Amino acid sequence: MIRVEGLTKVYRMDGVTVEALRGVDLTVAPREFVAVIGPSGSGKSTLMNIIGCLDVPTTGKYWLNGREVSLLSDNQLAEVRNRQIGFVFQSFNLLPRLSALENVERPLIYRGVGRKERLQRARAALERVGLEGRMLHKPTQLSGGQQQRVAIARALVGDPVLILADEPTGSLDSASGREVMSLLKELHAQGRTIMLITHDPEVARQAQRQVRIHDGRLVGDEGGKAS
Amino acid sequence: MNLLQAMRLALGAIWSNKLRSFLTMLGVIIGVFAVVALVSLGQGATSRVTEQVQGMGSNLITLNIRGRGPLSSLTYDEAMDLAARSGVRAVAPVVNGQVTVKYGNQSASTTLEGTTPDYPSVRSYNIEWGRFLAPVDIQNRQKVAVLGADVVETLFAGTNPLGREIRIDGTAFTVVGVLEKKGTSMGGSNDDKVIIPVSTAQRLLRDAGVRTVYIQAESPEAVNQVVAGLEAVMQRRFRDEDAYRVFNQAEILDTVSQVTGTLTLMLGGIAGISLLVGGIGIMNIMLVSVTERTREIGITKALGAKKRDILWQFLVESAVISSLGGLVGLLLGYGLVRTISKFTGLTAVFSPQVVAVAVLFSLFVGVFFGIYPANKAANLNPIEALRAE
Repeated sequence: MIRVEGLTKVYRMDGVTVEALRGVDLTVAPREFVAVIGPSGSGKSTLMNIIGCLDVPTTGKYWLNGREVSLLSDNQLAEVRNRQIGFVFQSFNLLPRLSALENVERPLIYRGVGRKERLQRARAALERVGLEGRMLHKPTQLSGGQQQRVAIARALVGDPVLILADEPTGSLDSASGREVMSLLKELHAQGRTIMLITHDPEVARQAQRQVRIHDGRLVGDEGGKAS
Repeated sequence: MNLLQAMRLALGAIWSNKLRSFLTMLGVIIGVFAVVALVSLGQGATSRVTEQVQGMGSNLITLNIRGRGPLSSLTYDEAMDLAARSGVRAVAPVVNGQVTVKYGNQSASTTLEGTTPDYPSVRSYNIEWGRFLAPVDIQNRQKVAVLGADVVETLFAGTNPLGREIRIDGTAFTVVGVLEKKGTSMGGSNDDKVIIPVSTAQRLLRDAGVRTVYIQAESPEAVNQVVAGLEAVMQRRFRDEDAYRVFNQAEILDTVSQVTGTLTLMLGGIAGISLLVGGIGIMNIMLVSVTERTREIGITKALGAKKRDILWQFLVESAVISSLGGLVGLLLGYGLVRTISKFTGLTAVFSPQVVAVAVLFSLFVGVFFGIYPANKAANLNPIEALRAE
């Protein structure tokens, strides 16, 4: 599913060179539930940006679903994000002006899906996360947990091969956090590949496999099928 | 993403920020409004003046004799000889003077013109009632008169003047016709006059000289040739350039339409500046909007929006704002122009070209001033955009 080899990423900020990744090799099998755990500044966000096709590595190779994406152009990367990856962010990142339904529908607009099918799929995704009664609410009218469920519905609607969750429980109270985690576990049980990025060992423990990252290098890998 | 979808997104964004969108639009509204109103009024003035000049007669050349020493006019025969020159269709010599006209106890002071049967066709007059002068009236020095509309109104006040007897400076004349009302033109009223046969007028005024000759050229192309010929003849006759003057209607028309055209262009240009300012307002707001929506742009990029999608969304947004503004400005301009031409004497021409130019130009302004902000939005780095607050 995911294979990265010798991934490095060097930033140059105000003349200072920062090595965010110093050679990461990682393979994630289909239907795995992986947590990438590490303290802040460990390079886990950079890794997630590269795996999420928001960024390209300085050196190294990345195959997603059998295709080498480290060679793709901006437009092709957008296409990959649209079709193969569903994002769940710590701060939800819903569009504030739009209703839950319109938010969930958005990725399908960029895919060029017709209006009727779009609405049908968006409704189904919202039902899947238990928000059938809140479809026309704006994000501000929803609780944090509900907003994160809208975001999960948005990640699901395009039927991606990979769901990337970046600290999905980070801004939630513990009850809502548990709700979101159990939703992710359900999705995993239904056969989706999920990659979770967190600094919280409690959250990471709920994943099937934990990958530890520190100073831009993988330093531990537990519970994986491969290892 | 297709245009319709981009339009839907743009309208959503415009609607969610109603006040700002409206204020941005206002710049374009005022610009288009000013362009439409001023250009329409300018074109109205042009067409009105052109109409008046053309109303004096088609392919008309006017010869005025001021004279030099004892030679102060042409004889009737000299004037009629001009008709034989090449390129000349018809000639109407005029002997004129101020007279008092009486009917019953009504009297009016007016202009008397003694002329020939070709006069109406040369000067573009129509006969409202009765007939114009006939060749036999000239030969026999008949005391018949054709009245202008103003004179009829003053003397007859609604009753039928045909066949009545009027007194011109004490001499009795029979009214045989009335000219159709023509309105005022550059030379003053065209309807305040009495026309009698030229031969009769020479007697009545005790002056045999023709001081004005109206000449109609065969075609617009022939006008210049006829004018040159006339000048040569007059030069030979008077040996003084100041003794005569040849007015060429086409030349007047050219000058007039050049002046009004320049005026219209100038007014349109000044109004165009306000449209330009409106466009800059759009660009300004779009730039603010891109900065404000940086995070939103980051999110849509993460969701798989391509550069082109974002470019389209912002470009369509500014184009929609600006063309909606253009449309509103057009309607307001149309309203003003209609109101003005209804309540004042000004004519305004609301031409389809003005409409097309206003709409296209406002669309162009939207696209032109939207390109830079839209491009800025499309080229944002998704990671940095997502990090923005």
